Amino acid sequence: MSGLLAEAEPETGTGWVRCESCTTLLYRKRFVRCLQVCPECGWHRRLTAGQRIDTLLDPGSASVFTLVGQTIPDPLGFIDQLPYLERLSAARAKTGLDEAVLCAVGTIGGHPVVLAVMDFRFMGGSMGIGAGERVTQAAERALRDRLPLILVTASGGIRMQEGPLSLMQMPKTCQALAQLDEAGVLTVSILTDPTYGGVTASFATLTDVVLAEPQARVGFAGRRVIEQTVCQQLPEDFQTAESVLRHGLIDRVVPRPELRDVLLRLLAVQGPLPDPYLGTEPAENLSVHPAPERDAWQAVTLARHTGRPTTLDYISYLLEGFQELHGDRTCGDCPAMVAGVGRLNGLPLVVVGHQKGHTTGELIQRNFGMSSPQGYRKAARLMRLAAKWRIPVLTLIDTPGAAAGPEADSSGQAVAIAESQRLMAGLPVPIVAVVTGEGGSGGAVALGVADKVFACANAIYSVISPEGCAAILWGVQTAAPRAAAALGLDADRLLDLGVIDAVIPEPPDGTQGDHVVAAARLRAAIVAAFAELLRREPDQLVSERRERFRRFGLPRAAKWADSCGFVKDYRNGGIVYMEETTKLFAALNTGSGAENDLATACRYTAELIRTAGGPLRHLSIRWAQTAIEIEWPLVDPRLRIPPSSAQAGSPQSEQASASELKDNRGYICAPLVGTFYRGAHPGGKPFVEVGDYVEPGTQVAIVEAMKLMNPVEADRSGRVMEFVVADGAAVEYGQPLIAIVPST
Amino acid sequence: MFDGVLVANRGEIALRVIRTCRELGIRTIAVYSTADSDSAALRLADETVCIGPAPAKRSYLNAAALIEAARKSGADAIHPGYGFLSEDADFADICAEEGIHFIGPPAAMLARLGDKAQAKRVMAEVGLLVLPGSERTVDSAAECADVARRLGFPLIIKAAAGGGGRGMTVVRDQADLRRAYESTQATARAVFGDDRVYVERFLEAARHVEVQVLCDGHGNGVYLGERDCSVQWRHQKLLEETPSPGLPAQLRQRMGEASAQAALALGYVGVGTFEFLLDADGSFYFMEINCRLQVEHPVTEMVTGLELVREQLRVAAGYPLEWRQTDVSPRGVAMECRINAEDPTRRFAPTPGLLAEFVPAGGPFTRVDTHAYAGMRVTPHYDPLLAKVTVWAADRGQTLARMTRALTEFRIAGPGVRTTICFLREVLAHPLFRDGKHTTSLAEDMVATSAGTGGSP
Ligand SMILES: [Zn+2]
Repeated sequence: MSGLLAEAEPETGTGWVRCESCTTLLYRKRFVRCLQVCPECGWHRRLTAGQRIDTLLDPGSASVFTLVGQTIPDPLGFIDQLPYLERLSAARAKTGLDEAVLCAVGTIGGHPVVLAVMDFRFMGGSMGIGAGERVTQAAERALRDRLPLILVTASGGIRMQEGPLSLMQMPKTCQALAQLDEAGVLTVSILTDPTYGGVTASFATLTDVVLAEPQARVGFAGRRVIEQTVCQQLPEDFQTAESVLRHGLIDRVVPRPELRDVLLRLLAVQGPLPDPYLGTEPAENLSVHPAPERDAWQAVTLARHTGRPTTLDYISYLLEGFQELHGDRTCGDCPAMVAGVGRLNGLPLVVVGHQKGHTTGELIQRNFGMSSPQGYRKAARLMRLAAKWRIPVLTLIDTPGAAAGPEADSSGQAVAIAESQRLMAGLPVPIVAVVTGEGGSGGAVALGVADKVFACANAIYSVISPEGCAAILWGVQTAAPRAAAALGLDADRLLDLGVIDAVIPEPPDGTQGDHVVAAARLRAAIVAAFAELLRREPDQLVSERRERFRRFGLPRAAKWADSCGFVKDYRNGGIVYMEETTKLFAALNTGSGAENDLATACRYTAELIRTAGGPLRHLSIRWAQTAIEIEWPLVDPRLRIPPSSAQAGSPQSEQASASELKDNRGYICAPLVGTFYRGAHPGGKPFVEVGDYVEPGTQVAIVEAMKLMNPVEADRSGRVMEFVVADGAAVEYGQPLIAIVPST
Repeated sequence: MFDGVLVANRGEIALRVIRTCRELGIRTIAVYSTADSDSAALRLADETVCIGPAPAKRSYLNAAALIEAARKSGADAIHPGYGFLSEDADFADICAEEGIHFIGPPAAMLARLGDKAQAKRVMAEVGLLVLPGSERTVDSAAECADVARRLGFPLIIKAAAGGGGRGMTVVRDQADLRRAYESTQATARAVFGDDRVYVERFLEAARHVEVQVLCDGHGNGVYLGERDCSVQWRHQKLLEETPSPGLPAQLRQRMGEASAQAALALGYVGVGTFEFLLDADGSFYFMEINCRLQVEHPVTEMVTGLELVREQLRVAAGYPLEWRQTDVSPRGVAMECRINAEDPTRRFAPTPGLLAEFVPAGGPFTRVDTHAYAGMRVTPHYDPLLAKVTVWAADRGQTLARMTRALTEFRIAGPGVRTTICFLREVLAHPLFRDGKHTTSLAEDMVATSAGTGGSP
């Protein structure tokens, strides 16, 4: 550790630190080596700006830069209980900083970056002119030198003492980030505890990627303000990093020791594309006519096989340094959609794809690959980032369809799907789409507007599920195989129709039989496609892509006209979802010939979830030998059991109850090994005397260990009867200290 | 010599250390967690201190509690045993700061040797062979191909986060490399949530042989023979013996001398164990060094007549070694079996429970190190070692017969409790083992062919 980190280390006269979260005594050297994260419970102590720079940048690479030019020191001549200028100089004396923001250039894993770090010790990290100007100048430096900008925030909000000019720092920093967007420069923010108000509502959340440290509190309005406004208590985890992640507002929660790793993965997808592109991958294995020995219905069954590689499987086989990113920055994150960045043979790219799963548990967790609008908005956000960073996009399509419950519908499923297609149609970077399994209707085409569209040999791409089609047009579900044949949904028909450009052959039994071979063939196809597409200019890409989709349905081949006969019979004029679940159960009982019970059961479960009339609580489906049961938890967070806090306190109370004697006394016992004192310091005034009443939580004594004073609190209510241990005595863990007679 | 030694451990090793201290007239302090409040070590110690609740993190791994316990009891030295804090550089450092002797190498030495990759670099510098491999994790298929060109085949791709045999792929041919790399990476990602892998040359039919060294703080060091620990299940040793069967005397001497020289070159102090992989061609590759007393140290004691805990205490107290290399002349064959409360038929899953019956073996040249007794509860909180039985005889055939006899004498029973005794007896009867031609894959193979499916103990 360099000098910056050592500089602000408080002198406490002991080599130990007491974790503020789990109360463990931590050896300071180890604690510092763990970047001030408790190795027992993960508590992240706040860092100073200097410490933060040291933990993020390569050793010895940091060079701090100061403000260029002047700012107005005290525009309002503000005086509250103290003159503002006095407050400022006190903060400067305390922190050794000029302002609440410290800027530096340096490297992370050799990649040069510009860093602006807030220091909460400096007037609560409040943003006034000085802080806003520093963030802006850091952004301008990043723009000038085309260097990635990393912002680390810790702030209570806007500084009141500089009035309207403080407020104007918000748009100032926002537009500085907008300029970096226009220039295609990577921006990342790291939200640390706490980040609030005008900082959250300006530069902190406008970056390409927003990370946060675990348990960091992040919000706009303060918790107490909101509680007072709505007159109710907010859940325990309100405004924690983990909670804002669930609400789709940030990309990831990253423990401090992993921050550099994540930044490195993001930095590795920046910069010029490799040339020559993608090495020497042979473009073999692509076939124009797969002609597998199976009919359309068998393809449907295979495409839904739960053993097929999922999007995440393909990603782990294909990509180096994959970094998944989350959230639609509006209201949620969809587990049925995976999005992130990584490298394919060195080529940086953005990947988005539907995510199913292999087991029932995974499928449920991923909602069977049926994305919500939040998922499509997340995908769109990542695709916009690809355009900004000028790197290609790969989409992997594998979905029974978009989620179609009332909630999805009213939060804009249709709009999200429509906007995704419009975005892709105009995206100025190469896009390759692969239908790896099920290409279910609108939910699939939302990721399908690409320069090259491939399908695995047993994949399907269809306007409706064959079962749905059969039920509507034939009136019986058992007609599904006939519907499948008629719908033109399997790979060779798709190739004939021009909907896909090539078929990726599968291993003999299908991709589920050999993931490694399946991934290798996918790789070959994608690499060849990108190698070709990367030679084109953005304008050309977009115009050719638009032309491709413009042509669909225009007279081209006789075959297409033939299969249109089917469409003419489509009297209901649109996809009609089954209205009642009873119909579906009826369908379940009559269906037959499924080769894969689980796949079929999952299929019907998915269908049921899609078409259910309201939020589901419990669902149970049995298909042959397979049963699926799903129970949705109550969503009211107030009903949830607070995590692990009960566990932390238990040994003490266990010990106490074990040592209770017959005469009804209870004991308050030592929570750790050390020296017992009745007062706050040796010889100090005792916290309690014999005869005093105590309640759970009342501090009754201390146990000194490693020169740290650890409070002993009563775990029960009652009257102090006797001090069992003398003041200043060494005590062991669990040793009875004070006898208590319970109050009745 | 020390005034009071605090034993920062539990189970059989706590007893073992306390016994030696008593023989040396040193006051002993036993520490315990609330789960061990009835342990045998507490009855032998002069003083006891409860240091925390059952989870090891809050008791046996709780440095602050141990230091406070030492202060409360006036101990001037701490013996860490094995496991727990025995190789924790920070703990050694804390002891030094508090003016308490840590019985083991100094903190700086532990820090230097604690990281496996760094230890290999250090050992290569002092002249030991290390298995060629990627120095750091291999982050792309192309990089993997580069490393493979350098190493040749066969090689092994290992997950950085792996262990216990999972996330490892042996590659024998260039054609399989990419596939193996990708699938190991994918497995590592799925199993450990960390897809970093590294690559190493793979040794076919390697044996695991370790050399015991002992150094004082005055520049003297000796090697005390080797131990063969090839009978392992997922890197957990089950049975150890010395000498290593079939190891030529000349090679034994070369390994011993190389280890002692390396230890002295490092400035090592205390007992230490160099672990080697022994190739079929007689090359031995440094794997790692254990900077502590080993579980299996009794086999070395049996053939050398040296009392290792006594030596540890003496060296830590600053005395010079009383022995030179020429004074060390191992005699006969010693073997140790670890009796664990584990079920070999269920992939060695721990079987905690109440010991209704516990009768250890006895007899000539038969030593049982145990903390167990009838009525003891085997807790799920700590490792499942119940007892170590070590026997000695003039040759390997007699040793095998004696061990088989000793294992037969054990009577251990309790609801739900299973032990490794039957499996160990099958090992002793296995033709490869009897011939001394077994390798580290013996136990795995036995489980795979369900040879090791003995019934109740
Ligand atoms: Zn903690």
